[in-house]
Amino acid sequence: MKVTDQQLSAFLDAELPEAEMQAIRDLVADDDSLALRLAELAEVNEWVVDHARQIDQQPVPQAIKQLLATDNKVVQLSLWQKCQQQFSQHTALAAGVALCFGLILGQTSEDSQLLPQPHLNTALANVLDHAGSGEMVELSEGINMTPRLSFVSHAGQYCRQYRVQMQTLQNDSIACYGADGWQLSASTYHDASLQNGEYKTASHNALLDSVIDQLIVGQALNQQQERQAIAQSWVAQKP
Amino acid sequence: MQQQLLKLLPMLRRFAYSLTGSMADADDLVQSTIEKILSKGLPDEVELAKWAFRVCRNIWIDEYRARKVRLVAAQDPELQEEQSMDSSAQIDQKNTLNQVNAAMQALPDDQRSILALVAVQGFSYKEVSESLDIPLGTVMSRLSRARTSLITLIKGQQGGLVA
Repeated sequence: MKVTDQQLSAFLDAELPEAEMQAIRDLVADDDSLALRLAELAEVNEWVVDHARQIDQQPVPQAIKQLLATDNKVVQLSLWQKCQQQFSQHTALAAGVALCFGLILGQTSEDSQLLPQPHLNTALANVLDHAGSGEMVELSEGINMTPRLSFVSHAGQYCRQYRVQMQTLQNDSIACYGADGWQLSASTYHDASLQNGEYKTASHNALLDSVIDQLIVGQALNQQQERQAIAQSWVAQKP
Repeated sequence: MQQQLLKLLPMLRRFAYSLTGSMADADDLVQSTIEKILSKGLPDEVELAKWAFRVCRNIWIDEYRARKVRLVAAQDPELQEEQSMDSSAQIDQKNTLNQVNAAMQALPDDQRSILALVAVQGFSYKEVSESLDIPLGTVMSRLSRARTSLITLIKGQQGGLVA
């Protein structure tokens, strides 16, 4: 019986029928060259395992740890909503935003699902009403808001992605304009200070990107289309 | 799901490193894999481990495989940090691991994925077949070809060093 490399390889992994396993066992016991070939094939496993385990010595990047930490999720919008209600009672916007971020940190959303949409705070809504994408608006000292992208959703609404940047915290959200004004569809946050010096090329906003993928119809609005939407107060034109 | 992924993390990193041959690319690939799983969720009746390896392998094929620049730079001898305290045994081991790395990179994509899943993760052929959506017979033949290719490549390099 001639034993092929494929049979020996499968023998090594105990993936052959028992009768064939036993036949090869007997042959290996009597045939030095076959035993040597089996040892070579087994050595490949050791090489590959030793090679792969090298990465165990490398610390896990902070970006991955943060992704798997239970406090890094799509923000629970009910919490955001509560926060914004309190936020509106504060006369100082900065204090309100800080309060929101403070409350949101450490909260979890186990399944990362999108939760019911709350109304957007007036100050934030005002920026979305009037500012073009890429235009940074100072909400308060050290707190800036920048609309980043506008598009039309499957529901026929205009939606905008925007970023609120603080010194060490960054909030990225998507809001859509409905009958009751701007409503939040999704919101993520992260600690901007963790990016410093961190190896990171993959998008840390993949969660939000996937929400846009689900919502968007066609391409994002170009500058002219966006100006037109601003001019018509973001009320979508019926086709 | 985060906790399950955390348990899988060491295995995913080893798998990604086997595929990419670069630690930076491996961690980048793992990060993309986790982001995708968290954002897209898990299909019904699919085991997370099998799904995670499939997502990882697909992202690698789609996005990372073409990025050779970093790997080439990482393999440049002038960029390798040699530790002066290394013993000769450690240097030998390092040489072998560099040879394994180079040989792994020379394998076709599916052979590399299958070899990493069987040898490193301890997957059965059936599990590999389910994870990568490849027929069982194909798993067996490609794995065998991967092993024999590695022997040829590495023994060839070692012979070259001796000569």
